[in-house]
Amino acid sequence: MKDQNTQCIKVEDMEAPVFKALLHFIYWDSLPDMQELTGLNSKWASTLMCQHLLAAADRYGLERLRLMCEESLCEDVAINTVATTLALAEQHHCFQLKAVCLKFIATSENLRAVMQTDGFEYLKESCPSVLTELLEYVARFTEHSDFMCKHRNEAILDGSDMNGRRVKQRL
Amino acid sequence: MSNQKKRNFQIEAFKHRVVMDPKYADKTWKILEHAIHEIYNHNASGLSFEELYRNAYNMVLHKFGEKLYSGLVSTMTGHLKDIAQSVEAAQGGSFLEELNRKWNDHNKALQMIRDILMYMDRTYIPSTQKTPVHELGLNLWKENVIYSSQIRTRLLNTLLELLHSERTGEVIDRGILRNITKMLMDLGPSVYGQEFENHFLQVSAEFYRVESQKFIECCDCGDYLKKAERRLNEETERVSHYLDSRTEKKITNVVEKEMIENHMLRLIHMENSGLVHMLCDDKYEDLSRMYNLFRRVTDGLSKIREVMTSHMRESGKQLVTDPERLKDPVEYVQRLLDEKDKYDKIINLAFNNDKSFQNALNSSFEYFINLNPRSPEFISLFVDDKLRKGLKGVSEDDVEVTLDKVMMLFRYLQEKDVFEKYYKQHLAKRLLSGKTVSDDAERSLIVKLKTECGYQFTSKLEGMFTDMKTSQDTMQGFSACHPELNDGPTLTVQVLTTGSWPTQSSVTCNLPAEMSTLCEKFRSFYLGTRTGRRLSWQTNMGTADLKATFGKGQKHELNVSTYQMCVLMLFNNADRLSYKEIEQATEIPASDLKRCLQSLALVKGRNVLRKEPMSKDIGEDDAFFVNEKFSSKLYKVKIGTVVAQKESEPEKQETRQRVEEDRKPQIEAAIVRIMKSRKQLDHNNLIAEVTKQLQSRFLANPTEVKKRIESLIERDFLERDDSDRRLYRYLA
Repeated sequence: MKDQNTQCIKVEDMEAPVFKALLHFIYWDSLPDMQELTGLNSKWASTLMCQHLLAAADRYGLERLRLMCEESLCEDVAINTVATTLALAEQHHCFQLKAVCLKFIATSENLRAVMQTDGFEYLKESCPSVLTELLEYVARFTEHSDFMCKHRNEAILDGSDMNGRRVKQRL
Repeated sequence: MSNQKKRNFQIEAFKHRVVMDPKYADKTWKILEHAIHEIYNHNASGLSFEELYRNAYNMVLHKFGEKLYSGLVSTMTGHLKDIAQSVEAAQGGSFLEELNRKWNDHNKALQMIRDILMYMDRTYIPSTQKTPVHELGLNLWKENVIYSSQIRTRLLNTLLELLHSERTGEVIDRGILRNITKMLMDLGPSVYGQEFENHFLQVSAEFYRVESQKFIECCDCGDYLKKAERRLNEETERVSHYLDSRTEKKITNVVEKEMIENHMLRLIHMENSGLVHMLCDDKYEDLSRMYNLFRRVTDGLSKIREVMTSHMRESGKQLVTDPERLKDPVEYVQRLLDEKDKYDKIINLAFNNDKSFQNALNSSFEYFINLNPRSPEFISLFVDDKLRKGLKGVSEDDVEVTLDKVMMLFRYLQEKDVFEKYYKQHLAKRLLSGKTVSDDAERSLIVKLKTECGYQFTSKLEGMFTDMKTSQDTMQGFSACHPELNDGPTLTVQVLTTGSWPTQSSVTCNLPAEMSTLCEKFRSFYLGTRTGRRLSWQTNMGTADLKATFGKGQKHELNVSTYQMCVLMLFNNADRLSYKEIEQATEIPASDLKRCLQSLALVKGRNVLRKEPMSKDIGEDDAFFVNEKFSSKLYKVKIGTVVAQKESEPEKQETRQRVEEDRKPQIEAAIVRIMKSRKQLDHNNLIAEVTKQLQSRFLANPTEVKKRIESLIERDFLERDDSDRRLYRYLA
């Protein structure tokens, strides 16, 4: 194909810093400093960067990078970003990340806030089927909410789901 | 990256584009479909991998994987159908080439397509458990090209035709065949098997069936085997060049079955060229070939072994029962050794030192050697001959080799005690006449016998050697004691312990006066230092050296036996003596005397006496004179010493009887030993145990064992059980 003979290949649908991070990983098996890359000292920046990287890793078959991003995102679940992270997890078949996001959203304190982010709008548009799953999670959560109150959300905080099973991956 | 770029980058939450366009999937698919067409048309150079990969990725991402996959299937199928047509259209020789070329094209295309669609391969396909792209490509090829009705049979027939021509000597294009078989293997081992291998094996079986039939009618065994070997090598080589390696075992099995297994017996028994003929003529190469070919098939080697064993037994049996052979024991044993050497060599050179063949050899030899009850005696005679003169001048190593070979034959004997008896007799004669070639050789053989049979077997034999040594010492003492005897006739005495030496009837004769005084002096000397012993002179075993002067003054030294000395000394006092007179004077037993006189008077070149009348036999009324005309080129003349001969019939009976007598106590000792440890045992088991214990010496006769049991019961060593007549009990 003609790619072999050209000096320059245009990679579409990807931000340049993301691609740079990808190359860095390919050669050094580690991630570069996110701050250096994004030029932003915002705590959301690394989460968002991880999202981009996860998509890129899945696209080009970098399995280890994908898992690293997935783990990182699992740790940094927050109201601002959870909706888009959930959409990402759904599209790129990251089941553990998906479960973590769903559980996070389903918590009564978070649900309302999340529903007001525009990430949530995006989620409704792109992955409507996820909303049905979210509903189930919410139902399950309210059932157990009394039970969980007694234990002061210990179970959630240490990374295990309601059955006490660890959902966060060990890498 | 410049700082400017960094400042401009605002990171946002990652959002994939939401697809709103209903025709999105179709449009994207069209791009990919076009790419596949271009790839199959060898036009890939204009395509952008990045673009195609991205499009496939997007289709799967936006949940259009199903459309992508089914599109792939139908597009590829379409191309393969075209390919099938072009292959079908190929004429004659170019059929395989076209097929091969299109296969290579398809593989290249498939690889490119797989690379483009890799995201689908990685994500959509595992989750829906569909066939991955590469495998899909192979399956479609198989179904649309290979299984196409026109191609399928044509392919098989073309392949089989080529193989057949190569087998009949033509040269074919092996490269193309290799590619085709490799293609079939890539499609799956079962495809290779069904589309080619199974038919190949069938056709080959038929081919070799016909060929082997043709060969066996017109070739002799050796040639046939050469042809079979060649075909086997051919097939192996063929597989290595253009078939899959797993076919090798299968095709060689076919050849082995058709060419060897089906004709095994016919080959072995082929007249004038079969196994027996090869064995007789030492055809090592042919035998080796037969061994290597037959070992590949079940029972091949056992058939060879069977025929070889029966041949060995048959020819061995002829050997040991041939009356001509029996006349010369030394020759008889030499033939046995030669036969053993022959088969050892065959087993070594042609049969790969196969243990089972070695065992067959041993059992056969054991069988026929024991067919002749005189074998133990003959082997002892052979050894006697070797130790007297046969091994003269032979190096120590060669001596060992010969003795070891004799031991080999000895091991085959079932009646080792018979051998012992004869060996003792022969050894006694050798020792006493001083006629042994090498003391070391004698000792060496004793050691070998001891290793083989244990201390008891050789203790008496060793006693004989000890006696000889002791006698030497005694003689030294005697001459030291009686220095005055140095002037007269010299006496050399060997004192034999009665138990160790073979028993002889001791009948003394009348010694000449000079000798008897000497003997008395020795007797008192000997008994003076040893109390409680009895000496008796064995006059039938001694020798003497006489100085004689004949008619014309010719002087000779005569070496004679003691009996002969007694007779000759009489002629110092008389010129003429009749048989009767000699008999009276010497008191030598009649048969011995007759033999003695025969050797003195009737043997040409040794006739120191003259007999009247000149008849061959010794009559009671014959008269004897000194033969004044005696002459000999040598100064020292030896007159017929007692040489170990093959026994005469009555002697043989006697020895056999003695052996039987000796066995009785051995059997009894075994019975007692066994019963003492077992306390009680039934009849059959007792017989079996006794036989086993005595096996190293002789084969126990069950009837004889029964007699011994009865005898032991009578003597209260054993008793019978009251209720069970077959059960014996030990009485302490």
